[in-house]
Amino acid sequence: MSTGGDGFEETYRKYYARVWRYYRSCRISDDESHDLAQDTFKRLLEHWSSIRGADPWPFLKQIAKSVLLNYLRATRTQKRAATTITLDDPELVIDPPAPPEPTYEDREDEQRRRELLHRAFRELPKGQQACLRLRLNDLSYEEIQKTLGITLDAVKSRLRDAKRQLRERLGEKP
Amino acid sequence: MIRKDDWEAVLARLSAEEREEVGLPPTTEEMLAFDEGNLSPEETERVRRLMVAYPELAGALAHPVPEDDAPLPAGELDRRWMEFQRTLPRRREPGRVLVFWKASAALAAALAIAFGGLLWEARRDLARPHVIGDERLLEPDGQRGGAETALTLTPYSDWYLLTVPIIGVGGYEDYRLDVHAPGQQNAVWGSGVLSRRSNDAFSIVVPRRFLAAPGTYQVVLYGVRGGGEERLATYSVRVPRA
Repeated sequence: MSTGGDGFEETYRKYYARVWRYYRSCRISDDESHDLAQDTFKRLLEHWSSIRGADPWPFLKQIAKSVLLNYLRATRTQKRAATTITLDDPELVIDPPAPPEPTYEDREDEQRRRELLHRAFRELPKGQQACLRLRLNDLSYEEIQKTLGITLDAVKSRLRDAKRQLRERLGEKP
Repeated sequence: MIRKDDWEAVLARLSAEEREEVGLPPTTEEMLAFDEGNLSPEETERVRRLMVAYPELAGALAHPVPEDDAPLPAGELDRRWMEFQRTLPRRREPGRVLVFWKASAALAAALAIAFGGLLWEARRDLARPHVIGDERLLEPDGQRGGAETALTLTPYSDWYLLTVPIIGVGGYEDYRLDVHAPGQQNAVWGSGVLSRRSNDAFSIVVPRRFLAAPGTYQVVLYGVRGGGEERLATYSVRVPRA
């Protein structure tokens, strides 16, 4: 693959920081953000001849999103397998010692709270559940609006109603 | 009172339940098409439901790409660019490729010409009638009588075995034979010094290359005595055109 004399290096130097910052803003670690940025430019280079002369940024932006989504699909949407360890493994040392076991009453109480919360959540209208789940996963109002295809006011009112209903069902004061 | 770890546990359970219900996350292509508004209403709703079940993807898709150009720390960009170049597969220099192919083509052409020439020569050689050896008894000029024509050799022999009789020219310590080409003073072939044999004849083998050109050659017999030599006889042979 060629990287010289055809404007690619200029594009790389102009947009690298922007692409890297995009990944960082999505809470990807610094090292992984650099890796993803390099992957993004590698993919841009593969299609470089077809976009020559045009503004590369719209295409680069699309590639950056695609690389991020692929990365997230591969790493964060899979069921996590439990780490296994053999009995002879020197890592099999419990240090520091495990915290004291919760009492039976503690466990019962925790179980009860979580069942209550789960049920209360499930009893919310679907639209409120979706809004609240996205919000609890740190999406902004605008991002929720975009994902659900509703107005910003609808996002705010659904969240407000969902919190109110949960408080009522959980017996909390506002 | 609900604690933070309660929320985390319940959200994890809700996610697991919903993912179990809706299945795999949307593909990257589906998400990008959703983002661009290129899906049908039914597909849009399906992807939207999947996005709620996979909120990390929804967050990434909805997250805006920055449009500003705040620079990286000094030297960082150079380092990243070098690193980027190192990860690319090495490409061949076009100029060098051209030179390589030109050189290869020239070499191939030279070999083709050389082998073609050899083949042509071999075919031509094979097409020509071959005589393994032409054995002839020569007679001295002036003693053959009649029209006194030179003895004709075949032009197709690889070598000539010529028997040169010594008739009436005794008394020399040694002898010597030369072959002279038509019109040439210098010998094209020489035998070196020969001692007289009991049968009063010398048998010499002359390769064809010394008699290659058509014409009449003269085999000259010299007598060697006391450091000098004397021309004793000539034997004319003719090589016709092949």
